[in-house]
Amino acid sequence: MLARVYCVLGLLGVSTAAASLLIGSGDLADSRLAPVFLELRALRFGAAFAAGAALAVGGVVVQGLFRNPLADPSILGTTAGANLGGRVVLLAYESVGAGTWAAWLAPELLLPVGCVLGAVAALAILLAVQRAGDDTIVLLLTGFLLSSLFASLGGLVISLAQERFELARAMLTFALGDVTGVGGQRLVLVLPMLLVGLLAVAGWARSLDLLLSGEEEAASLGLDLGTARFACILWTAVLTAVAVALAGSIGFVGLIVPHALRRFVGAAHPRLIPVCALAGGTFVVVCDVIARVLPAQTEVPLGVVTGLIGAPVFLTMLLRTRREVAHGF
Amino acid sequence: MVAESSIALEARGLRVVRSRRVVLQAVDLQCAYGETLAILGPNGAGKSTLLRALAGVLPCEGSLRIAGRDAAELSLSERALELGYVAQNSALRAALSVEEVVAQGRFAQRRRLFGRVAGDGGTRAVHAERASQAIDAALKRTDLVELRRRSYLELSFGEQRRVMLARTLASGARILCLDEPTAALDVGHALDLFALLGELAAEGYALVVVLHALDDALRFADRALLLNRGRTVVSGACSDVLARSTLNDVYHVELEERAGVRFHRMAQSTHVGDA
Repeated sequence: MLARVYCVLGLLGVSTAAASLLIGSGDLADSRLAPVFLELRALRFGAAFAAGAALAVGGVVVQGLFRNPLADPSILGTTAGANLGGRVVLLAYESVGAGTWAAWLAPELLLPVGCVLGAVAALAILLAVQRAGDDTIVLLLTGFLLSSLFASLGGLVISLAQERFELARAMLTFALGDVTGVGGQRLVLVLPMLLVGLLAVAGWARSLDLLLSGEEEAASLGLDLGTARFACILWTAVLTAVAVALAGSIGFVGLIVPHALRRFVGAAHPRLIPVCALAGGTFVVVCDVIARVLPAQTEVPLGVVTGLIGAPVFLTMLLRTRREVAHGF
Repeated sequence: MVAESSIALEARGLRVVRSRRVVLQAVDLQCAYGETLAILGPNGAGKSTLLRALAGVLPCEGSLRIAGRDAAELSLSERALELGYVAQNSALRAALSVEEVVAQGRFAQRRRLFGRVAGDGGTRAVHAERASQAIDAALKRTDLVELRRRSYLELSFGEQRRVMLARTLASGARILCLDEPTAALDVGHALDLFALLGELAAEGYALVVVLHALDDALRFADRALLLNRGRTVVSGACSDVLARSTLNDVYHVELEERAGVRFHRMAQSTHVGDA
């Protein structure tokens, strides 16, 4: 079964990669412009795939941690935190940095740093709260609270940016989710983060398996809950920051991809994590291709496409597996 | 008395406080290797709490020695190598195969990328070999060999209970804490389970078993600890603990002396992998 899943995912991955390179508004028949188009599309493919892989695996981790198949990085407020961090950095760069000492720094390089800082800030608050009341429900509610707090602050940052039309537009694009503007620099800076995050999560796969039996049983089998919780949260933050830095806020990937794959590969994390990385990447690339071919005045933001596909698919899954969801995985 | 080295579990003045309420206090117990200790008491007496405290999943005060070492000095991994815990109802509801669930028992013995290796050393291959042997042995003991590739979710309740026992057996721990292992099992499966527990005790496992049915304790346990409202009422040999007067006090029941109905497995009975 696992071999078949990998075959299907490999075929899908290769064909979506081809589609991602060949489909778009530019005409590849023009021999002068073709290499430029191809390079832009390759970067775009890389960014979309990396963001999807990061989000899907981040979803697996938080679902295991909270023993809830409906969890997702956004539940921790990490997505919102990373997004706010990115926006604050953009605003600070434009209003303070441009023309001064920071001018030699490209915003390309600053954005991922801002995202990590935002995600880490979100988690620092979360950990402080967790220390006060060591309870999963408190943790989840705090995550929701942080999400809306960061969203409000993000709105504030956008209105501060309104004085410059371009900046406000850039932020809105960032908030909606988009991979068009990703340059080679940002991709090169973010890819190591992705690799480290994926490897670290793979290292915690067996601990996540133990958590499927609940915290007490996991502890009785020798799992140090505090360390496991901390590591899961940290690496989820890194993966979320990767995704946000590359593609802005794109929702549902971390929810749908693991949920769809569990029925084929089972719930064991050592199998689920690599499969989710592949499938998540492919899913976001497909969404990106759809974003290019949808009829619209300008290109449809990626976050809109994942939302349009994700929400109904997720709702269907929820209704079909209501019983399973109510009782666990 | 029992020789010092054969004492598996020894607790003195155990006290558990949950949300500012004392749910267990001044509990002393001792269990040697090869011995079965039954924990008895009415509902809410603190039997499960005691077991969870012994397993290290609930914080407790007092002195607790596991396999001759102070429990406070043991990490969770080291503790798991000595003492296995089977909850009354596992919270596991995931599409893992039986083999994968049983393999979780080896978690405390895994080789780590960084830091100390729990258990003894050995190369990766030696470790893997030892793990697969322990998993096979645990599956065999619990009659699960034919079910090893099946999903845990597809199993019957009784089979799931056996999987949980197998997971603990695979860990190699010699002290087993079992919370009502026969609850919701039919009489046949309950007898099979007690037969298995008897074998384990004969091999030198120390068993601490929470039991609901008093006659089970009389037949399968060496010693018993009777709890009521979080305190020890009496502990000692089963027949002493289950004396008429204590039962009157604790359960408010009369013990009726008569030749009751007794069940035992028929010799030709086969029941491997039944649903």
